[in-house]
Order: sequence, then C-alpha cells, then structure tokens
Amino acid sequence: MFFVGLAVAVALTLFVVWLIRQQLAIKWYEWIIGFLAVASLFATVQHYFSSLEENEPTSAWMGALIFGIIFLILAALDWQLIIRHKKVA
Amino acid sequence: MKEFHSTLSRRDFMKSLGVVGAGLGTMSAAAPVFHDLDEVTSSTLGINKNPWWVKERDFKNPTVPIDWSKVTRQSGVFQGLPRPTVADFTKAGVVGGTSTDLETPEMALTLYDAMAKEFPGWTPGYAGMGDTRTTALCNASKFMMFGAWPGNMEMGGKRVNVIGAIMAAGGSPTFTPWLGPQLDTTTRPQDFGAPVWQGTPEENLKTCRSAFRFFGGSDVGAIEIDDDVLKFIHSQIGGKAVVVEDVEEAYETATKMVIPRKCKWILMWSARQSLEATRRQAGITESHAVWYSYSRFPKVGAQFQEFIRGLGYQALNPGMMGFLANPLAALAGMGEHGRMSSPTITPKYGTTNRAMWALITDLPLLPTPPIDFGAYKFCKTCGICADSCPFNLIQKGDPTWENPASAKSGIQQGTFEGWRTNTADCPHCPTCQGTCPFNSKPDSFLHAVVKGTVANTPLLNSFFTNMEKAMDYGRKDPEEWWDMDDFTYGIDTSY
Repeated sequence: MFFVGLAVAVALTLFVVWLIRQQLAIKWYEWIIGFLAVASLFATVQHYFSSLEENEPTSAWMGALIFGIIFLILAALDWQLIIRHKKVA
Repeated sequence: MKEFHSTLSRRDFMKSLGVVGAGLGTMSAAAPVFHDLDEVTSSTLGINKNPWWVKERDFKNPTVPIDWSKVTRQSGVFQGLPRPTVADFTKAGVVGGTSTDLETPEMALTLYDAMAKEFPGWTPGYAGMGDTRTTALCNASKFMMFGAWPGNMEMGGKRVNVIGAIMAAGGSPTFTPWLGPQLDTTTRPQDFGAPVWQGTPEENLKTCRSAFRFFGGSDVGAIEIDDDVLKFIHSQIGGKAVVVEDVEEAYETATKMVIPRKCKWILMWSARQSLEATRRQAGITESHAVWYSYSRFPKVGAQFQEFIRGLGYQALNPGMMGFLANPLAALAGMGEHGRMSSPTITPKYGTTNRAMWALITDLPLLPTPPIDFGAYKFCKTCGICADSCPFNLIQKGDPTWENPASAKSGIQQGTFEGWRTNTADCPHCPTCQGTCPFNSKPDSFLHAVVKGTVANTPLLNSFFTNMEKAMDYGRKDPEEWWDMDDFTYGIDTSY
C-alpha cells in the first residue's frame, strides 16, 4: 500500500500543478467530486488487493467492480465539468 | 516569475472545512469516550485492543437481556447423541466408522450430501473426514485432545496404555485438574518466605493477558463473583459438588470441589482457532481446526494455572463442563451472545475462538464490562449460520425467552432473550462456525466500514447480510487449504 499511496500522491501533485498552470477556477463541488473519485480509486485498489490477501477472490472482483464503476463515473463527471469551464473561458 | 494564486476562495475553503468538520463530528460521536489515557488502557478496549467501534455497557447488562431471578445453577452434563459404533455405520452402509463421530448414520449421510453439494467433488474418504491427507491431519490433531492422557501408545518399543496406567495409579483421565497441575517445578514465593506478587487489579489483568498471549491464548476479561454470577458456575462437575467455603486454600475430595470465598474473580480467556482451516472443514464431527485447538488449549490453561500459582495465588479450573461460557463471556466483555447460541461472537475474531474458558482466582482483577458492537442486533436479521445448518438445529427468527426445540439439551428456558441451539441433537459438524460474517479479517477497509456501521445502527443489517452472501464470504473449498501459505497455527496475529 505504501507504493500505491506514493504513486497516487505523485499523480495528485502533478495534477494540481497542471491545474494551477492552466489557471482553471475549480468550483467547490468539483473539488468534492474529485475527492470522492480519488477516494473511490483508493477503495478499488485497497479492497481488491486486501481481499485477495484475505483469500476472498469473489469479494475482490465484485468490490473492485463496484468501486471502480463509481470512480469512473465520478472522474468522467468531474473531467467534463472542468473541461466545460475551459471551453466557456 | 509567475504569480501563483489559489483557485480556492476563502468561502469555498470554509465550506470544505464544514464538510470535514461534520465527518469528524460523526466519527467522534460514534467512537467510545474516554476521560483520560489511564481509562483507555484500563478498559476492556485497552486490554484487548478492540476496534474503535466496540462500545462498553454497564456491568451485568450485556446486549442479551437476562432475567437473573430465573437463572439457577446447573449440573455440568454434556448432552449429546449416543455415539454410534463402527457396526452401526457399517450396517447402514455409511463410510466413516473409524471416526470419533457423534452423528447417527442417517445424519452422516445427510452431511455427506450437504458437503458434496457445497463443494463439488468432495468425498467422505474412508473415514468420513475427506481425502486421505485430510483424514491424516484430523487424526494427528487429536493427540491428547481435551487434556486427556493417550490410550495405547508406543514407548521404547512397547505399547503402553498411558491413561490406563495413570488411572490405575489413582490419577485422573486429564492433565487439567481443578487445582491445576501443581508441579514440583512450580515454586510459590510464600513457600520461600518471599512476598506474593503484588499488583493493582489493572496490572494483574494486563499480566494475565500477557501471560496468556505468551502461552498461545488471545484475549482476557474478568468478572467479580456475586450470587448472580455464581449461577453460571455449575453446581456439579463430574458428579462432584462445587461449593464455596470459608477456607484459605481450595481443595478437592472424592465428593466435592471447593472454592475459597476469597477467590472472588472469574478470569475469562480466549484462544483462536485457525480461520482458514475452520472455514474449510468438511465431513463428520468438526475437523482438524477444532481438534487441534482442543489438543493445544488445555495445555495453555494448565500452564496458566501454574503461572498464577507461581505468583502466589490460586487458579481453579472448572473445565469445559463446569461453567456456562456464553453468559460469562458476555458479562466479561469478551463478546456478544448470537444466533449460534453456544459460541460467543467476538469483535475481532467472530466465532473462530475455540477456547472461551473460565478460571476462578483470588488474584485481584479489574472487572471488565460487557461490550456492544452490534452483533446481537445483527444476528436478528442475518441467520446465515441457521440457513447453513444441514440439520436445521439452529434457532431461526427473532430471539426468544424460550425455545422448546432446545429443551432436551438442558439449556434453561425463560432465563435470557436469545437463541438456543438444540445441542443435544447437534452432531457437532463443522459447518456453522465458518459462516459467521463477524469472522472476516480486517484487511479490506470495507470490513471496518461495515462493522463500524453495524455497531451504531441496525438499519443496513439486512443489506450487509445480502452483500455477505453475494460476495461469497464464509466457507471455502477444503481442497484449497493445502495450497495456501497459511500462518503458523493458522493464526494471523497481526490483528
């Protein structure tokens, strides 16, 4: 999990730097949706690997599917919201 | 040089703080409240390092309602089915006659069918326990089960009947006597003019926990004995009366076992059974995970009695048939009463403790209060264990004050509002123990979320039960166990 955390932290940092360089005004609810998307990604990865550790393969893929879909929906939603700002700007 | 500006306004920042604050507020409302650090370390939660969602209740007020006026002391008798003979099994055309089983031949057939349906390809083997290597593991695990001396065994090229020799010398069939082994190598400080160990009740309970964990046990709890609590120590053990007397030292005669009035504490201790082996057991009458626990834990208890003696105190062992484990465990905060009835559901290990045993001692101990982590309420809507029972012996529906179906087992009626399994007809097959949702390991964050929610509200219990089934938790194919890289003794001690 250490390396997963490290990878996510690096990705997040690069993302925030990119946001700042783009000079995008992120709305408060976009931050929340983004946070929930990242949390869902964490949940997907953490639950999948730890369930395999628990010898629970069905739970691993079912959980990954549920949290993964939530992540994809939230990430796509947030991306679209932010992209539309840019177009408007 | 570029100027950097925050894209987050002060107003937005305060909104975010509000969300975080609300989350923290909810967590703190649900978490146990302590007034200082001493309280943390001296509580049950501190002693046993229970998860944060476990809450303490008032003394003598466990989650299962008890009508103390109806409870009376019972005799320590194990009600079970008559043990069939090899001839009984052969006559009925059932393999498995070599096992120490409790099933009737008809029950064995029912169980074999259930196992074969649950695990396609499973066969009872030549002894009813599964394939040859599983049978070998089961039989090897039985060595000195329940603290019993072996029968015929190899010694220096001769077959010696050990238990026969010990009985002939006036000994008892087990090494787990009421007064403890009291070996010559166990010295007592007072016999050498040295003071006995002096510790506060808190220190003593922690001392017991540390010693138990060293010997192979897990958690501890303590209850101060009063007239109510004494009702759960049986009035007779092995045909001998169990009485309280104003004496300094406990003793045992041919007719009675004596508790000195100064022995005012019951020390409950638990020890875990291999989780992965437990949920991969199949075949008649329990299996290797159970049998190896019964082989190992009596020694843990006997060595702990010697430890207490070495401190200068007394520890009396009522034995497995000398007390009611479930109510004492609930009163000591070791866990909660649940649908399976006799196993106590514990917050960390579910029903995978094999030892939930009691010792009576004069070592002053900090009493530990009952706990609540939502198990009793969860059992009301779950029922996975009852559905799994091939013999339909686990009580279904809501908890009740009586269950006529269990009457022949000797479980008292009208004394508590809970569930009573018909243990007299129960053949002790290995099915239900591996099905409890509380057995889950803590690796995935999801278990903490679910258990934390269950401890605080029963609203989602039904949903969680359905998810438990959908995600296929619980029992697993026995064949997988041989390919697993399991822990020593099958115990993951990281939690």
